[in-house]
Amino acid sequence: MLARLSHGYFHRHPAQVLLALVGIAAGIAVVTGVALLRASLMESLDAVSTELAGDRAVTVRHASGRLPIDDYARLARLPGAPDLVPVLRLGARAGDQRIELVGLDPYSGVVAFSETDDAGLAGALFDDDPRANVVASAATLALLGVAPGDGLKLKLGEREVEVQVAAAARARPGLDRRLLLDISELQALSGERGWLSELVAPAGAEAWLQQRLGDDLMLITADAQRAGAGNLTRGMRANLTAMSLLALATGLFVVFSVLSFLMVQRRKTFGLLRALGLTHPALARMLVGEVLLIAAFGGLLGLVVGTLLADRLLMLLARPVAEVYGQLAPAATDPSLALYLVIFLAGLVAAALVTVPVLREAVRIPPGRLVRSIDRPGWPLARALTAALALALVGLVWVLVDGRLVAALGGLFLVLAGAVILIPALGFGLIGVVARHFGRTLAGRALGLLKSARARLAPALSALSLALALAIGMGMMILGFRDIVGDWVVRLLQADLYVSIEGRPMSGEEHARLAALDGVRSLSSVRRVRLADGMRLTAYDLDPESWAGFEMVAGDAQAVWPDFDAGNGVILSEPLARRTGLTVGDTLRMIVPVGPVSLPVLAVFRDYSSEQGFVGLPRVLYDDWYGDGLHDSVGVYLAPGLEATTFAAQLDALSIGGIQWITPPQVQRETLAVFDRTFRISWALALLVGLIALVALTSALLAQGLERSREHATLRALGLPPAGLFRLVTLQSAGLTAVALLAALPLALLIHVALSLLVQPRAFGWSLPLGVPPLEPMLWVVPLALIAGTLTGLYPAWRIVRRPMIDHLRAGR
Amino acid sequence: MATQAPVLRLKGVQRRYHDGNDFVEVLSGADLSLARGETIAITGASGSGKSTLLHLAGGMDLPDAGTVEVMGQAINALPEPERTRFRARTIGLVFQDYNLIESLSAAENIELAGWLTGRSIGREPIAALAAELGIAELLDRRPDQLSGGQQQRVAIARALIHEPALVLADEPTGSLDQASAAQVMEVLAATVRKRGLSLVLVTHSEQAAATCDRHTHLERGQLVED
Repeated sequence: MLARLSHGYFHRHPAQVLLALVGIAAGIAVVTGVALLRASLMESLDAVSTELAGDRAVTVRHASGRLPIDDYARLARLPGAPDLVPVLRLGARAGDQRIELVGLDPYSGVVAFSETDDAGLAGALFDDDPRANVVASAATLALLGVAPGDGLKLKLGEREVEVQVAAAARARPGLDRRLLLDISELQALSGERGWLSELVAPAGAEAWLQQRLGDDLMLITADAQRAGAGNLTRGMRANLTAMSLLALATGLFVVFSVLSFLMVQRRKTFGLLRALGLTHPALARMLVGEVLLIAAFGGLLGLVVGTLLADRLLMLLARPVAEVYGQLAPAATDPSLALYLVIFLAGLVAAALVTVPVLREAVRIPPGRLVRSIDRPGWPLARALTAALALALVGLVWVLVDGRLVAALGGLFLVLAGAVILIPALGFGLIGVVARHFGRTLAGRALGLLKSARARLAPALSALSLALALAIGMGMMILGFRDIVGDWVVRLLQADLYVSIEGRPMSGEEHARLAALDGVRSLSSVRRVRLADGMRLTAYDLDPESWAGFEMVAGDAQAVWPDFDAGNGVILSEPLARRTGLTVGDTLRMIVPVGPVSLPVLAVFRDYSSEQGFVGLPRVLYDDWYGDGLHDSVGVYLAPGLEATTFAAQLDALSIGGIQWITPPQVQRETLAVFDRTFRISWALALLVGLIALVALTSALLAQGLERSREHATLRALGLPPAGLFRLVTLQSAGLTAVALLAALPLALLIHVALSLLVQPRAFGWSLPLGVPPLEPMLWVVPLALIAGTLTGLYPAWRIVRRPMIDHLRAGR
Repeated sequence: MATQAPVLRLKGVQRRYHDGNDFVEVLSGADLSLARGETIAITGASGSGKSTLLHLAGGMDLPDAGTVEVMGQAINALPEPERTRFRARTIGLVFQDYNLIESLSAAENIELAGWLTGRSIGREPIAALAAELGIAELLDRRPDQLSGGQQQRVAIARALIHEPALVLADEPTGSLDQASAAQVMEVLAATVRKRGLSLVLVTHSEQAAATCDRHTHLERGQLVED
């Protein structure tokens, strides 16, 4: 009987049910989208070794980053040697897509590719075609627009090569954006004969390898590999998760708003049922059942939409992940049932929890009470202020005693939760003041009537304030950060132009020829290498003029350079210093090609180029350890009066294939373009949160409109024309949006400060000097929000005006 | 000498409603004429169309056939916005369930009717009318702080404050106990007469009907005068 009651009610109020479904679905969709994105990124980062030798595969790398093939031969010939898969990995481009070429020995115990069609990997890779054969996942082939049998042009460094697509592998999306080919073919195509990137072995080989690797070979376990891969994008993933949780919280506001309205609408029925003998537990069971049913349908819808959303987000993220992290994002996400289940159940629990206050209110309705509306006054200002301050205090203490990122995000969430409690008390107080100011005008009446709907509108007001604060605060942080990065690049690049060779480093001989060109006053250079444990080194050979480009956050900027140039220590980028906890005077221990070394930290410098950070190494030490004379990029200081373009004309005379140059302003432009692409996903998520908040506002206004239908009908009967009523409701939505904006502005500043001073340093390792916040986000969010908020009121206003007046005049009968 | 137009005139008013695939005719050619200062009670069985008649007289609903004239103006011919403005100026409404705005005080509820006509009504006329209706001490209270009888007095004040020519009262005592009902009817009749207004009272109560000058009965869609 109770189920029939519920069904009958929902059947008659489909719009309310739809709004509740949209609220929960939107929140779950964003969480699902981001969760799938996270999982895919993680899988992609350690995908190759997993695909080659199973989930617990171990990897052997050389301390220099390049493993001589002789080392592989030595290990493979030892008695009892496990299956070792030699792998050569090289970055390449196919059109505008970044990809990776993975060369391997198809006969050496590869696990995953027995799944390729027909004769397995070896059968697919070897045929009579003179071009190298490649195998890739179906998603990768779709991304590149090719099919088995097609030719594919690739840019490998400065070389242009053509390969043939042999087959589509039924591999996991972790292998997306990777082309597999025979290792000898790749060595021939790239000129990397005699070199490997790594050896991959099954998990069981760990103990055997530990005993037989020399000093210069390092064993990376599956856990270490995964942790290293995870650390790479830890900050980005944490920020995405925080945004998705905020979206869910905003979606739950919609659920709360709609479900509380559904309860209020039926107070009369509940009172009657109680009078007829329905017990509290039975009523509670009925209501919980309804909430769970709506949450379940909304959750399922959210999972479907979230899965579609994930692929869109992935498209936004693919390029920044490659540019900023040097990693390949998968071509498509790979949903798992376990992930879906966790999100679905979490959605049910969250929906049930958020409606607890509403359920408590519903089961407390005294038997026989036939009032139609509630007018919960909400918390008075003093009580709301106390609760908000208490939450803010807990958040602050958490941030102060715990230096982790989770504490920064958790502390910020607590402060925002306090704001959510405080906003209705302040907001409706302000509405009262403004209503009195406007007095007997339509605006004054409209706002005056809003006061009585506080219980209904408070969640929407909080949700909208939160979403607007997030958009403005995040915008301030991003634009402020953008200015900082722009200034940092200009300061860092002290030379007149920078020369490099596409696809390979510059040799010592080429460097010498460059130095001998007319007009060259001096050169600076950098060389980047990665140690086997993933630690990144940047060897600096700096002209004294370049020193001014480094802003030291610890250490004496003047005293450090003579020591550094003499090879007496290293300097650390700020993100690395934060991650390792090292500072000036500490000792850095590394395993380098010549064995373990310990070096003092001379200084810590500001750097925004990578969140994992790197060690700044004196060139003299690099030459001792590597002795290859290579340079990745060379800064050229020109004779006074010589223009960069004039000088660049001489570079052709060097006859170095692929030589290219760039000026500091061009670098700045490209850096900022990468920056903008990196933050595109943040804007997208903020937009989604904003849209969900607008759904919350629409839902609340509709609910308020339905609840106040008799009042509106009375106003119509007393002489308020339809257009007047329409304006009244629209003014109410505009007024609510304006109040939400007012509440959002201080909150936005708080978010900006928290993101800049707490979240950024803890997530990415770099500090952001806090200046005057950029006002642009405010300048475009404020009018946009006012327009959107007013437009949001149009539909509820239209619905309210269309209702037959006389039906609602008698609604109480 | 020109004859003064009736305050309310219904001529051959028909109104029918959908009931599934069928039509139910509630009013089938009702005629009524009400002179200035005249009061009339309309009684009838539940569902006989009393409230429908009142809604048509107030321009809140439109007839399927016939004419509704208020102060000589055929209000069913007016476009909706003009009809609404005309109602605001010319008609005062009293409902069975008071229909006060919950968020407004008694004084603000009374003032609302003046505001909707575009007139600014000061505190003094409100206080004077409230004193006449016996609610002078209650003007700052909100509806949920008033008894049913007090709320209906506020609603009567709201209907009269802008000095309409016609007052339409739909079961104004229907939600009140006998004693309160009698007091409210007495106050309503007295204040309407004192101002020379016309009143259409829809009621089930013979006692309430007896306070009016005329008594008409709604039967099979037609008005039958006693």
